[in-house]
Amino acid sequence: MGDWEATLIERAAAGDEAAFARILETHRDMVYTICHRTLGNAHDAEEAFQETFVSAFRGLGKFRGGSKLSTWLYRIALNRCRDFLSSRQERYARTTASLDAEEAAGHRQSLRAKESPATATVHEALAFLPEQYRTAVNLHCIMGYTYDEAGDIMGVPGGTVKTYVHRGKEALRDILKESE
Amino acid sequence: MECREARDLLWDLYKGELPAQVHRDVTAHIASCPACAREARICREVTSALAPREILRAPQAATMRVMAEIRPLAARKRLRLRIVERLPIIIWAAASVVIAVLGLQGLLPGSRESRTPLARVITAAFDMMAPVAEKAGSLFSDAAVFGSSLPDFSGWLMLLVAVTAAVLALCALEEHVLAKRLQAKFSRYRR
Repeated sequence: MGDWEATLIERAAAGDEAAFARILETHRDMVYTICHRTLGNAHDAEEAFQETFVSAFRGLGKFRGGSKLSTWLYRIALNRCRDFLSSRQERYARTTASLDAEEAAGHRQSLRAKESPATATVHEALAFLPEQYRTAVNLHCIMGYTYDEAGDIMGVPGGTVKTYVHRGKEALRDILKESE
Repeated sequence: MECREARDLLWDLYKGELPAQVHRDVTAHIASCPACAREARICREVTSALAPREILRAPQAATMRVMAEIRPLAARKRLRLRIVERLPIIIWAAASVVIAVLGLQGLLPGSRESRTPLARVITAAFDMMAPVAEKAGSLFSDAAVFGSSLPDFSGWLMLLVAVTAAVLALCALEEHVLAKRLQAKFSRYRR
């Protein structure tokens, strides 16, 4: 962790809003991406994004610098997403299928705007994976983190992430085979 | 190559991680086996769909809501810090006031008997020194005069402690104020 980042954290922990705004500006896009890819829709992603940074602000005093600030933030984001999924599990399990027709159509359109039908289908199938497989696939395959980096964020060893990714891809293959 | 062996290698095939010979063997098997060709097509679609994608932009409105929510939290943190910084001074000042009040109480005529239970507990240590002072006082010619003021001894001692504590508190306060002034002066130069 660089000196400037350590200074920012110290100042933000003491209640300096400008320092926290800098931290927010630096990491907001990646945190939002993690929330969006995990939860599958913009509305839930925004709520989880908000809760992530508010929790991070409350907990800044306890951050000891053992990991990178980004890793710590992304871990909080995943935990917030997990809470979201467990408290709204029914709603998430429906994903695009059970959103109201207009919202569902809009969601599919936004997914497929730049994608082939096959790609959109794979992304919809991601929603049906167990949470840890989906997170591992999102972090390693889609966001480009190494197994070890993804493991730091998820709080598991890199080897476990590799297993999750493999099993996630196998599960996606099975889902797509069944849907043909 | 067997179907099972070929299917186990499909993910590595589309990640480009197979040695050349194995790559040729798997590709040849897929070309000759319709079932494995279907598996290979699905694996190819999954691999392609899971390729790295662009980072999404966080909505500005969400960012502004975060800052609005942390504003009162930040104000509370700053207030808590100010109190913690001044705590040693507050404790010194409070202790000196308490000791001074109890000490003054001890100095009042006949005050020893009329002391509150709390004052008696606090002055107990000072009272224990009275017999020692009495013995020391008997060495002087006007020991009787000295001895008659012994009931007030603990009161005087407590007053002395209170004055010392008050002086220390004032020193700490002055040091704190001076440090803040110096900090402000030097930060102007740093800019």
